[in-house]
Amino acid sequence: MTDPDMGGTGMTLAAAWGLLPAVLAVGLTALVLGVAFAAVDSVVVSGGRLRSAVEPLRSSLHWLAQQRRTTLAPDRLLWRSGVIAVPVLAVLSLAVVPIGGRTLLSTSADLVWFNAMEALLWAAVWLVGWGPNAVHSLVGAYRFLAQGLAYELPLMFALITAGLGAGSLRTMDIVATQENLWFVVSMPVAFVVFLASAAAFAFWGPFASPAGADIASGVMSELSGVDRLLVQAGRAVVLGAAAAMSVALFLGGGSGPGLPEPVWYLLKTLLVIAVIVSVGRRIPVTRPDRFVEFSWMILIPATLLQALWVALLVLSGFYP
Amino acid sequence: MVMMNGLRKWVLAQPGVLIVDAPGNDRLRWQVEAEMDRRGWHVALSPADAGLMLTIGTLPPALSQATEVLWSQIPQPRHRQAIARSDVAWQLDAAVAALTTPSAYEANPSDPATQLSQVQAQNTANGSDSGRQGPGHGMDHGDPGVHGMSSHDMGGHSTNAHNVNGHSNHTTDSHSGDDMGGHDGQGMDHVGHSTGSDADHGMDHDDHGMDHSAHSGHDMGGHMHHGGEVAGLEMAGTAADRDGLELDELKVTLGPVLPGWPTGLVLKASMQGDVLTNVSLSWIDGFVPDSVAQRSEPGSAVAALDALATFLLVAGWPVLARQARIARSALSSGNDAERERGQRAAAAVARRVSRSRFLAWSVRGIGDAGPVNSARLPAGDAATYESRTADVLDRVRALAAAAAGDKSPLARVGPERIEFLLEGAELAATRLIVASFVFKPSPALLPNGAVHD
Repeated sequence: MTDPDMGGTGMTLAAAWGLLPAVLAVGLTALVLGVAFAAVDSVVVSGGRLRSAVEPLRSSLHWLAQQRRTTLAPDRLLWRSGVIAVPVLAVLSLAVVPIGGRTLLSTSADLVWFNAMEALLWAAVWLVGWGPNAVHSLVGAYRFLAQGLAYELPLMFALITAGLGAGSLRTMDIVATQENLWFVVSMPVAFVVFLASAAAFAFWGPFASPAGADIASGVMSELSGVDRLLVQAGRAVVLGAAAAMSVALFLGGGSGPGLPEPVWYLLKTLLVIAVIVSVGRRIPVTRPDRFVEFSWMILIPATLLQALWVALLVLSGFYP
Repeated sequence: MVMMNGLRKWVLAQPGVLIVDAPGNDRLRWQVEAEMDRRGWHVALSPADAGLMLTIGTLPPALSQATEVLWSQIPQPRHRQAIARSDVAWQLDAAVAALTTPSAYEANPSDPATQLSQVQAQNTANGSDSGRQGPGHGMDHGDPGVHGMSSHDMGGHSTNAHNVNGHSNHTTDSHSGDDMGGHDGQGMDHVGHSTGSDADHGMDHDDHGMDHSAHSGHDMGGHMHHGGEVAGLEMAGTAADRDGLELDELKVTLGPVLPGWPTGLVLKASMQGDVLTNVSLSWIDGFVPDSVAQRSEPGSAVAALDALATFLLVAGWPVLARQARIARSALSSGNDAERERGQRAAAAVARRVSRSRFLAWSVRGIGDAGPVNSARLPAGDAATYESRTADVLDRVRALAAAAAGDKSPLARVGPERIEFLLEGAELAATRLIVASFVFKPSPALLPNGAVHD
């Protein structure tokens, strides 16, 4: 639809601000979203104590000052690669999320980019679990893959449903199509599945079994110091980025009365974060084996039906 | 400078805590946990996550050895504090203050491997039960420098310092030359082909020990009975799995110290994928009667809440686990109004546990003792929940009923009674099954080190 290189509203963040400031803006946004998610999560876990909101900051500083530990005969190269990849992929997924009404990149396949970053997380988390040469850590890594098998297809169908409605895989086109009616109204299943998958790829809340208490925190169990900081930050940024992406895909982006677009966008993102946390912390962890069954028997058919429904709406000219 | 100190204090004010409680010190542990909840401190899920190690009560010898290994795995800054009295708040203040002193950055007084060997020497010296580790441990270690210490360590955690016979000549001041031996043996279970690549050692082993090269050569040489080792550890061997397929097999030990796990309980098993076979479950050590420890059992509602809090942690429901702990602490207080509040809180937790469809869906059908198997339970338990009910979910609902004030006494089982439920279970199911039971306390340890029921 719009040509990203033509300037005006179709312009990318990189073209509008210059590459370096744009990248910095994305990094800063990642930090803000990650901190926001971690702070809300911390408040909810502590039973609603507002001063717990500073705990993510405190833990981060603590990890910076903490000794890095190692294990006997670790696969150091792969371990460190995985640890670094988690936050890097999280930030990269933000490249196609609108910031101030523009995305850093705008390709004809933004949704594929976003999904690719999540798919690469499979490898990254696997390596984090594999690296330390430790039982619990490895079991955690296996669990992540098993869980990935459960959530990845529903996630792809959910993403593609938003693209289908807009007739484009470009994030800004999807936002523009929702001018009159937010996608969440016509594709609620895709919205919910997308948010649940976000929790799953950050192995958080009900999908935290790869880092479960029953395996001494699994893939996290051997991480201390800056390694722990990187992985925890990556998880928080993934969740924050997914919340922001869900606003673009399903909640009309920055549209809203009165306030400027970025403010609306931020408010909606914070609301989504609050909803994810308050729902996610109300329920126990799912066991991956049971979740796989649920996912293949119920979620995949549900998302397929959702896509079919949206396809019929597209044919009937429901979307502009 | 003042500002930096202030910042350091602030940063270190909310440490992760690893609790090692001696058997019989439940009340003191509850006080510690209540105080931690009040301060917002979290329970460390692994040594990597810990800054403080709190030992509660007088640790029996084998547990105390395991504690040494755990301590060696905790990253600096760290501090350990023995909690022996009930002025818990003051002791926690002291512990967290110690985290900001230079001592929190001191390396181990000796490197971890040396500690292992010392621990082992102590173990031999005090004659504590060294025959528990199952077959294969009494291997032929002719060389006195060879350790064969099998300290498996799941997730850096469930350390279990075993001893092997043939070391009686070691004394507690055994010199650091033993350390490479301690290293090598670590994580190995000489019996099967336990693994180098999969077993975890979780030890900070970085460069420690390397300075002892004068001795290490000797130890390394004396050690390797099997080929194909990595960093002195054997590669995993294969064995037939429960379906008869030839799969990698790893000897694992869970416990004696794990979050959401009764301290002192040790599970040994072969693991293939995450399926456990040849499971044995026992107490690592007896109970040391001292001034603080007590054998009197708390009210059943309080004990049920304690078990529920543990179960909820294992089941991955930390928010509700916290509420169960809060209810437990209110219910065991001396104040009537407070107890009443505790009863309401306990009822609320019980309601959420029994009504959660999500929990039911997630844990139903595992650890199914079945009506037939109830015959295997001791006769005295016949009227109690294990025998009436079958799976983890039923047991947990029974715990919830007890927490809410159902007066029937809590049934307790000996660990060996539930081994049959764990055979062929996955790791996740194993943890849930163990957490769904309340265990009989470990037998008392007599002064001569013998175990007495």
